[in-house]
Amino acid sequence: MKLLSRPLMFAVLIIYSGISLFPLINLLFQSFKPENEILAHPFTPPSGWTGEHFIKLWTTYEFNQYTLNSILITIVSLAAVIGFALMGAYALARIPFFGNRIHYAILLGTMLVPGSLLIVPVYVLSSKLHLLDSYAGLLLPYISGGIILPVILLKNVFESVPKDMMDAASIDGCGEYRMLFTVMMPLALPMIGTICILSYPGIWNEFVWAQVALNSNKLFTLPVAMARLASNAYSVGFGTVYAGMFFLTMPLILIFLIAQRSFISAVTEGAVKG
Amino acid sequence: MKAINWKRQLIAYSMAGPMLIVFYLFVVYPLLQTFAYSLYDYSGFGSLFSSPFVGLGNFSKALLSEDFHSALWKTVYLAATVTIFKIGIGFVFAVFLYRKTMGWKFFQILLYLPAIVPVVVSAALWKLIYEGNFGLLNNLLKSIGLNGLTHYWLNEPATAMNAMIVVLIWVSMPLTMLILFSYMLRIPKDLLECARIDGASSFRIIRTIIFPLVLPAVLLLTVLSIAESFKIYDFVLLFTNGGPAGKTMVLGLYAYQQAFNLNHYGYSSAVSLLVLLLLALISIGVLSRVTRHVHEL
Repeated sequence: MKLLSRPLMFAVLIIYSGISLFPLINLLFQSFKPENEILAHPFTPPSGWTGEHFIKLWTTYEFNQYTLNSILITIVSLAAVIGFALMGAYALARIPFFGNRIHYAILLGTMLVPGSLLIVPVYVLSSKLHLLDSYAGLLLPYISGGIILPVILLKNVFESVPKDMMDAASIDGCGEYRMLFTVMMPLALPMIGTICILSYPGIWNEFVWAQVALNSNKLFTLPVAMARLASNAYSVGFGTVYAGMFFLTMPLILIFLIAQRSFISAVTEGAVKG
Repeated sequence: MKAINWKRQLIAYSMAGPMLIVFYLFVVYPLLQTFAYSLYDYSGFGSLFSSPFVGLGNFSKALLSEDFHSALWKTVYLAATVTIFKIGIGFVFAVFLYRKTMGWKFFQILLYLPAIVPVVVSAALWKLIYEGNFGLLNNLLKSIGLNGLTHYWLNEPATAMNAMIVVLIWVSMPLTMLILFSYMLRIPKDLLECARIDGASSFRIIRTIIFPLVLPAVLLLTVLSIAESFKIYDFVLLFTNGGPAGKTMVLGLYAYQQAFNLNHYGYSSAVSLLVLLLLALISIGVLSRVTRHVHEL
């Protein structure tokens, strides 16, 4: 078959990858270029690599604070999502309690509800609970929004554990909490990994809710700070804006490259099951 | 009658409690609130019940509003274009990967990279690429002598929407490709070998074996892609904010602005619910086709 010959497929892949990666490669170049070179030579690698833009981000634009905020928010949300989901999924899968079926049905039913539909009432609710402009106000919707898929995925894992194994542990006098954390959790570790991979970019990148909920400069997360920087590109300087973008994207790309195999299987699995 | 084990119930609720509390408080309750808001002329301040009750007035207002119609058609255009291109391109590349083109493992990773870029970054990055005076795209066109093709891409009504669609395809094609690829990997190998031994051409194999077998995935991805397009607002907010002259004002952003810029919370909720209803109808329509195909296979 001439049209699907290997050299042709290879050429198409090379060309498309080149075009589609060009913006990212250029982002790398621009972030390390002296300011005066950025407009004069927009496509070339920097003649001399400089870290001045990153220093400016750190010292003038308080990215040290925002980075800390973002890391803190991501870790706490992720830990809460996993902790709550583990306990919730265990109870749903293993203990017949009042209303368990109804809770699960409602959980499944809300999966398709878009976040944009909830942002208005969540905003009103948060303002009534005096949660606006605080980390708790930022975190709680991240946790509630991110918990549904993990509960479903973990419940499937727990249900697939053979009953004999649990009975053996029960007879040995193992309580529910100990059962969960010593017997079941180790079995769920691969799924916990998948959940981390699926969930953390959403939290690290989340912009709209952070923008709506936060007012104080010192609470901003990286995406909010980045958006402010980009909208003032002319006064901030393009090099610094590029450096900010680079700084925000780099951790994601690094983690992807390190864990690419499990990443790829996680996103395809997550998308299909979700 | 079996005695109820209260202690066990208590333990179960202590375990499920945290999850249920955040879920009911920040997902279910707000969802119910949206229904309530949509019936009132609510400005977001003060008590809902002290604001004027308008019944289905917000819904009829939306359905009769020209802004809503224009946003609806723009969203339909966006959804159709993005979906067709990303599934088309994604399918072609999935086949390339599936046929083990040289370096396919490497390409799988390279091609996925744009999907990882945070929305704040993709918006800001592409804004600079499309910039009229010194943007990369115009610079590139000028350097190869195509000065006539340069535009103020995001400021001209004729180009803004398509310029945005290109970015959305750039971001969302990789996942589509990977999902199609993972479906192709599940096709039984002997099926393909039989066809090859019978002398079927590659094109025929793709048309008569690979495509029909991944069709359920294609339909599923179509639904997901349409749903995403109808929900999208964060990227548009950052990229064009609906401009120029409302040319990129899609439904998601329209609902967002009605609430957060104009304080029309009731109306905004009604618009969001209409979008959800529309999405549910489209999904049911397409998904019923999926189940039919699955039965046929």
